[in-house]
Amino acid sequence: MNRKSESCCYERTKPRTDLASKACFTVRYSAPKPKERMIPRDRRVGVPRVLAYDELREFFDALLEAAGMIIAVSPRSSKTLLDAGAARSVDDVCMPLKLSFGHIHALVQDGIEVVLVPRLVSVAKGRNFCPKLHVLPDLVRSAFPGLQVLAPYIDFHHSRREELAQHLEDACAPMLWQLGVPRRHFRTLVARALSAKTGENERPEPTQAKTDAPVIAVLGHPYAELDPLCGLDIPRSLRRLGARVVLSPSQPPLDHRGLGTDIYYEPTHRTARAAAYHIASGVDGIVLMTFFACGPDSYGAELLMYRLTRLAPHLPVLRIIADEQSAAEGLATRLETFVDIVRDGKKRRQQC
Amino acid sequence: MLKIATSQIGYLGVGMRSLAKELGHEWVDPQRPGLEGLVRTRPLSPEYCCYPFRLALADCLSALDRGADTLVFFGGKGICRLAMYQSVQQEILARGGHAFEAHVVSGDIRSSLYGLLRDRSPYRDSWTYTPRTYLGFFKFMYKLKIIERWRMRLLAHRPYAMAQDRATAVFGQLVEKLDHTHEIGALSRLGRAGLRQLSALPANRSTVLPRVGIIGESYACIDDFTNRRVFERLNRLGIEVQSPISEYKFMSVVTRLYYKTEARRIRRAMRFFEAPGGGDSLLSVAYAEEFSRTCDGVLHLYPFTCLPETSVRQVIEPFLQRRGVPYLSLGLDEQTAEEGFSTRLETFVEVVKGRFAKS
Repeated sequence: MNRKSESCCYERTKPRTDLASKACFTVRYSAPKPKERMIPRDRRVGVPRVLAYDELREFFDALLEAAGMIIAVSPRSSKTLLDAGAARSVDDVCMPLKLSFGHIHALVQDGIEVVLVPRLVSVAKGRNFCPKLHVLPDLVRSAFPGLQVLAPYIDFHHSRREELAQHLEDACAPMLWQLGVPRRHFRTLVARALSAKTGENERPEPTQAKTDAPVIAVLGHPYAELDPLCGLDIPRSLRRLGARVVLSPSQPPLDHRGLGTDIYYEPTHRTARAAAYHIASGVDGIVLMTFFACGPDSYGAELLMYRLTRLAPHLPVLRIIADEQSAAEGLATRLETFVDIVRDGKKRRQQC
Repeated sequence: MLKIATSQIGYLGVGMRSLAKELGHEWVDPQRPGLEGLVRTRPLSPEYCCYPFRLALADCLSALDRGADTLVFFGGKGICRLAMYQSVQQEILARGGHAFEAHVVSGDIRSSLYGLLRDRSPYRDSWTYTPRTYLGFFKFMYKLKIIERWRMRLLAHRPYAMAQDRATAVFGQLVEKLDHTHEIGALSRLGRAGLRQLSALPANRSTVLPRVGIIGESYACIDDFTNRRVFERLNRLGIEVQSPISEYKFMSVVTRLYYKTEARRIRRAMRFFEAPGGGDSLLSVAYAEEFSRTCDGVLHLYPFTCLPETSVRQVIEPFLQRRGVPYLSLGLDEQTAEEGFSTRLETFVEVVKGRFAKS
């Protein structure tokens, strides 16, 4: 091996040199070797319709079906589920996490023995998810004793693989073993599931608004944009007010125009990229959806707001902080005012 | 020569003074966090940032007022939000019109500081600069280690002391003396003398007191202003306190020395958390498990909405409940009401004493 290739190899495998690496001496960044099979008697695997569900649905549905399982998806988010989740979780966590406990509660009530809760650590080198998602399967195990949890460990940052698809194969192997799939079929099943994943998530079609209608981008975590309860149904409210709503692209371009610098949380970085993309495409206003007690957004969204003020000083930006106590009336008033501001701004620009 | 300051945690400044002196710079001590600082930072901070962020920002503002021209931030990338503090704090300070030089330290703190502070050091061209860096770090960590030993002795001795206030005052005086001592020999002598002095305080050890283990986030456990002197209060209520967290351990985490020594505990914690949950979460879980065997109660301190520690709470609450160990979790911020805080603490102490009496 020549000197150059040695150095490349080292670059690929050397431990991280940032604060997160403080634990690199003793902790592992992959799932422990599974000890027992986890084949449900009725072959039903529960999938909570929350958090990263919309992004991972196609891949995991295809994988579980190929493994011979029946997928039981939890009902759509509702206040009842949120209340049930809040009763199962500690009081100072964010609303989406409480809601996810509610979804799992609904699955347990439905007689599900095994649920799929992916351990989402990282899907891009150098960026990670909220720490609560790193340990979500453990939190679920703790809140629902006796429930079996399938937790593929998705940590692409620490993976030696160069491609996310290759890493997913490694990450899903323990889960497939637990579901009783012979080892020789792992690669085929994951490849089949990846080909089923089109990369285009189900996004609401834009309404047929008038061409002079202001274009407003609703940005935030994917579940804030797509789940009506989590996202306080803001896209629909804006459409009712005559605005044309655009959401984040499922894969925003990597160019964030400085908005995402120093933001190492994937969902907030994705929001920054989406904001840069929409500003370039000429939106008239941005609604930034965040959650109370959300770690990534507490600083990330703040940085984003500072930078948006610099990058697009005349662009109206509304930041909504949601929690389970958000009142519909207050929100409606804020949205109406915001749409009026955006409309006025657009008119002024057209006159100029 | 630079006038350096950084945000504080407990008595970190005592060590930083020696480090800065060794490198030929001046250390500027910010005024310790208080309500005045918080009143100043609250409108500047993000709406739901964690409590240490506001305190750290107050430190930065106070240091700049006292003439600091260089702020050292700990940053980089991480799991917890701590590594993102520096970006937001720099932005806030710059918007406030403060002029300062910002140095972001990430990864290997020794190498980072070595490079960052060299250019303006009076010793930059001297061969002594490199040995001075190592000596400075040694003194820095040694001072923190001495404080840790004194604190351990204080925690073991104070609940039995005839005059608890005297014990606290002696500890304060010792730290004050340590702050102005820089020679290694003198540090060593002072360390030993301090331990003797604390042990020599009159005490009544005729009864054994119940013991409470304190776990949680470093800032909440170390900083007396943040935790409202909970250690002292528990001692006053007749409880012996055990806590593994100190400034030395906090810095060891940042300098990546700690997890080597705590490997066994980390492995045990990974039965509960199969992934590192950021911050002190693995250690909190490990010590909660340990204290459930060795103590009569567990007190969990964390800043309100702290990401890693809320996860810890979700896991250890049912675990300790199953084991029948009294447990109290206190989320701290500036809105923690004094009355509610003391009532909860007193009730917890009663439960702990009840369990201790039965055993």
